[in-house]
Amino acid sequence: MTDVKSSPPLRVLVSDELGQVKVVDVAAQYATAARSATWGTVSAARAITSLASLPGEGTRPDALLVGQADGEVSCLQGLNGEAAAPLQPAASGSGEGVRSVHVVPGSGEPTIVTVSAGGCVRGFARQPDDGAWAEAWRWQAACKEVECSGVDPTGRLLAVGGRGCELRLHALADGGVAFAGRGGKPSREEPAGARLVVGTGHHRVRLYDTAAGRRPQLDVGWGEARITALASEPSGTRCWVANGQGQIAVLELPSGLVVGGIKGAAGSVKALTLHPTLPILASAGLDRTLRLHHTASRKLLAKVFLKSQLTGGRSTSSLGD
Amino acid sequence: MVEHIGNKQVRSTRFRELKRKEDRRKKAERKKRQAAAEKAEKAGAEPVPKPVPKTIENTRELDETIVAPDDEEVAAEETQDEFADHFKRVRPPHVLITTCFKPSGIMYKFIAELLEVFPNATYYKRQGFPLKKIVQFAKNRDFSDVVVINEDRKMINGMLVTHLPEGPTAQFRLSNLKLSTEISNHGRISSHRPEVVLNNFSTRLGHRVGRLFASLFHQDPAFRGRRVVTFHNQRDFIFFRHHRYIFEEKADRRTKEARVQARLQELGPRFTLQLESLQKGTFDSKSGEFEWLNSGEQDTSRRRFKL
Repeated sequence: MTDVKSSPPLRVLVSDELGQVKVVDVAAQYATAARSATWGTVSAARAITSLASLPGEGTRPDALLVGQADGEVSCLQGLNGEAAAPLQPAASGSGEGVRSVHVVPGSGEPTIVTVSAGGCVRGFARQPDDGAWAEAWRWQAACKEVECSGVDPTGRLLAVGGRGCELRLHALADGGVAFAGRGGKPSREEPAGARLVVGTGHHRVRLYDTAAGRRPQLDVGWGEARITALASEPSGTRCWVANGQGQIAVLELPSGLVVGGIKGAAGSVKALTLHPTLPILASAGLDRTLRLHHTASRKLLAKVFLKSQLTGGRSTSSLGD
Repeated sequence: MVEHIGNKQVRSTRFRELKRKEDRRKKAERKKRQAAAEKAEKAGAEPVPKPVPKTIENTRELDETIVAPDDEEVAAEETQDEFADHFKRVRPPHVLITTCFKPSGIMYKFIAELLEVFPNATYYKRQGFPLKKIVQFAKNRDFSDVVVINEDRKMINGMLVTHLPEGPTAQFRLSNLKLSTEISNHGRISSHRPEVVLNNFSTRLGHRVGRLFASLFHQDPAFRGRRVVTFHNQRDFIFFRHHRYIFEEKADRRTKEARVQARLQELGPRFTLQLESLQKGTFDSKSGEFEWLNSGEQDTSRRRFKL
């Protein structure tokens, strides 16, 4: 792991409930951390529900995809936040907000996958002639009130979970159900297939193994509030968990033991994000504050009060890149 | 200074000497100050400034969440938050008041007074309904707020305020309740719409709580009634007071000159509130998400305040 003392400058993008993206620049060695820009205009109807970064290629710069509560997915330029063309057609006609946006890397061009609050999953591909994003396929997931979704590293499966329905893994290409999870007592077996961590609205964290039956491998209770955010470390042995009362802890995965916690958040934590290379955890939520912690020592590295209620975060690589 | 002296008699003698010395020094200083003030007054110069005592309030720790009066970002957010309709006078307040499951005598007296405090309030019996159902009921009937009073062993100890239809929900601890009848020389409450005074709600969380209180009362008070409801925040304790004021022209006792005097008559009730949690959305204690929750973790200094 990289030593924090020699840490490069960082940029963290935080979305809020007023449809804005706030850019926080952290100086080298966490000397200062302050907001440097705010992208977008204030509109409570266009609250941002999801952020995804679209890596640039060739002459195209990096972009930021922003899923909004009015059903639109806008595309912002990664450096200055200037609006590029939104994804077409928007889902706003159906009156459904976007719940999450994923960028699925493919062999050539990546695909953008959006999941609406009502469970409609749509894939967007870039048009070869003008470079705009257009809808390529869509299917309905077996969940009417989606709370959370995720794409597996291979880019073939989409996990969808929500109110009143258990975890389902759908094949991205056609929407077929590849795995259907169940609740109940865990049945522990040797790890065989892909593993997946799920948090419930009833303060339980579950670990599923797709090759070892429908029941969870692990089912632990933690805290007393709804689990609002999860972030799994790249090693796969630890998972950061946060809940609606502002508690943050790290669970050791095979055992499910709480091996540490983070103090400080006064309100619900809406997003936990781990930096892809540095040992940094960013947390943001309803207490309107962005906090950066060291994942090993769990010490507070930086804290920025951002005035509005925050919904998501994304840490980008160092400013020079 | 004298703690190290083992012999009690010697210790007390020594302490008395020290005390006397200190008193003499203070007296001399006071004399000096008074003389300087008199001299300045005679010379017609600027009066000597009085020393300002240090209090917990004026030595409050700097808090980045305190909202500056000209903060455009917060102002923009407040034009679109859950209370915006109330402050734009689109939606007049209509408060539903209910109680805990088995209220006792004191609760009925308190509720009777609250019904007079809030200009547009209706009391409904709890009748064993869960709170989530009551919130749904109130939403369907276009109530703007639900207020639930809790008691424990015949002591009123809690107040929950939910703004409808989208929250937020604030839970307060309620203490030091005095009903109107227990306040000596109290006035009778008139039916005029009261003025609302919100003091010292300075942080971002304080703004939100202040707006929640303001949404219980109309935006256009009847100034003829001279009724004023005060929510005064001091060190995170919110003091609720209810008065009638009067401006009178009275002859000064010494100079016999007529001058305007302000007087207050308390109407009651009076009580103290402490914020325990502020939850986003309507009441949902199990799977709700909190904007702020008292966990004790933030209580790192007695000079840091949340409201």
